[in-house]
Amino acid sequence: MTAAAAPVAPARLRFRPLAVAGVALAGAMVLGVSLGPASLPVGGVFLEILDRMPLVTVDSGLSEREAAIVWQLRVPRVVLGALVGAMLATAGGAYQGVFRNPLADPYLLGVAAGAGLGATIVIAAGAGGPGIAVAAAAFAGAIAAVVLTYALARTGGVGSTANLILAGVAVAAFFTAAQTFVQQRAADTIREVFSWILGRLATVGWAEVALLAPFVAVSAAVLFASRRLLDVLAVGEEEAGTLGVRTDRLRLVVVAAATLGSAVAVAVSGLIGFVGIVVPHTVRLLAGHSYRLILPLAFVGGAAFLVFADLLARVIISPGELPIGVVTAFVGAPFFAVVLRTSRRIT
Amino acid sequence: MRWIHVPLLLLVVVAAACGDGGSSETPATVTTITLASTPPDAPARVVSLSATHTEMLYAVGAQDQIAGTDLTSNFPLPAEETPKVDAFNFDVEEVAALDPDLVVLAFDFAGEVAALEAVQIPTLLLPPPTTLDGAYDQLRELGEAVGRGEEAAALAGEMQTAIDEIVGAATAGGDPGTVFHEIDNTLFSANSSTFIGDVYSRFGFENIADEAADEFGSGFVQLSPEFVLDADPDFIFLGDAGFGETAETVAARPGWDQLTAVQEGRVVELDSDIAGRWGPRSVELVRQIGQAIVASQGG
Repeated sequence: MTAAAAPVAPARLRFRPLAVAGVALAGAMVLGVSLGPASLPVGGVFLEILDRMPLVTVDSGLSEREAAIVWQLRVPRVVLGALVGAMLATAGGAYQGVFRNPLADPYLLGVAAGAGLGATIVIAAGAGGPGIAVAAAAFAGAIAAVVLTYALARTGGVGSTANLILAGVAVAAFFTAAQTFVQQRAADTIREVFSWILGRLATVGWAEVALLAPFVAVSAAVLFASRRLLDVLAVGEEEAGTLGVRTDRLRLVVVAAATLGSAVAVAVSGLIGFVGIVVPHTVRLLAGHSYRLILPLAFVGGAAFLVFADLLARVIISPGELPIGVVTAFVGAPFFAVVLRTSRRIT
Repeated sequence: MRWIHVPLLLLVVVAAACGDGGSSETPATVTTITLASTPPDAPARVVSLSATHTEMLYAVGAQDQIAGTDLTSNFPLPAEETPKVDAFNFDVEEVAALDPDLVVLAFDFAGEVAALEAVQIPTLLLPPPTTLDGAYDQLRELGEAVGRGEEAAALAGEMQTAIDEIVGAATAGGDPGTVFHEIDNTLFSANSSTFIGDVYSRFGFENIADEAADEFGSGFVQLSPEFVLDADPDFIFLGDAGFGETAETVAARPGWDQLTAVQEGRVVELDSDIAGRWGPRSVELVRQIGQAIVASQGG
């Protein structure tokens, strides 16, 4: 991204693109709760959801077990998918802004590799598949990797952007090697490790939603609050400095917020790739280059994208499930290629 | 002295196949009585690359012919003390270093058979059977290959008798209903075209995994939580109990407390090693399943 790409005229967050993204999200969520291996009446599904709302009591006509399918399985899964997608896409957009690098993604500073190592160690130690223990270990690993990346970047000089990215690459390589080693030592759990690495929303419930939601709220609030400063930063680091932006502090705040949010998202859902790259860039190509537009649109669009991808993951080989990471890449890459080709806004 | 060994051995083997708690001392007994009975033309250095075949070799009294076993071979206990090779990261040199005159394998994923034949090591590939009868046949075939055909045939016969008896007793009260066999907590299961699935079929179970598409024809299919909840199986058997899954962890999964099997206490923890193998201890597997059925009918 060059300085020329930065918008000159103030870009307001217009209603229409946000409405389009909102409709897409609503549609994906409606389909997400309606479809599944159990053929439940769609009307019953929505009455059941309505019944669970505060102050509302309706008879959905579903049995206890069918109600559990709706409220314990489908709804938390759709909600979690939306939260994870929103978090990863927003974090990706923020990283791209703060590093002024179009290839930056939420895993840039070693979040994925650190989370992978933490999860693998716990799974290999016999904790089994996805669960709170694995999530906690993944989170600890992610934070450890990012702290290490920061420490390493600071020893390399003044902590410039390039230093940070290079340190992230080195830390990620080291953590990935360590993870592969642990994995090889515990051959009998290798499939569970892979299942986590490829991302999985199948076994989630309200506990994961409750865990993730506050982090997403705080992280997104901080990132949204920084979106004007990110626009200024897009002009150039020195230029932003002369305009009164404390770039060091901005970078620290944005990176900390984005990392914290993505680390928790990764911890509950495994590694879901591509969302953090594809969604912000699609938004950028369709709606414009201002972070005032990109971050909120990426938040809603990322949620819609992941809910939709998860729907495909469940439906394609029903009643089995594809790893969602496979779907996001398989659907996301061609979709992005089409957007890239048809868009005229490429700089 | 061989004439006295064979009947004694049979007794011990029968005890091993039928005994409930005495299996731990059995191998030691076998070791002491079969020292001199290896036929001269039988392979003297057998390497077993699968836990099931290791169990079979010990059970037919071929323990003195074992030159090595794979890392997962943990039963009977003396198998832990044999030289180890890693069957999942197969290295032909590692196996050849044990100087085997026969290698027994359950899988040929990575060209193991071709690699061994290239260095002139004879192989016997015995892939997982898909039925109990296939397991009996395989036991006999392995027994023949190591010069212990008689012992193996007798053991197979004993297994069959014991299993048929347990199945007969458990099915006297009618069909037990539907079953979900859990291989791991990502909900991999086995349909009726697998060995474990055949065991459930013998009891008259209807296997919910038969409803799921089996693209690879392996018989092993992954189900989703929603599918299991919708199917509402009468029994849940945990083949992953050795990996921390219990009736309690199953009940704690989102929505699973609504399952009939959970509410009525029909979530059964199986011995993971036994449930994943098709060796002599399959009798124990069948017994665990039969006991669960009988218990549910009694209560």
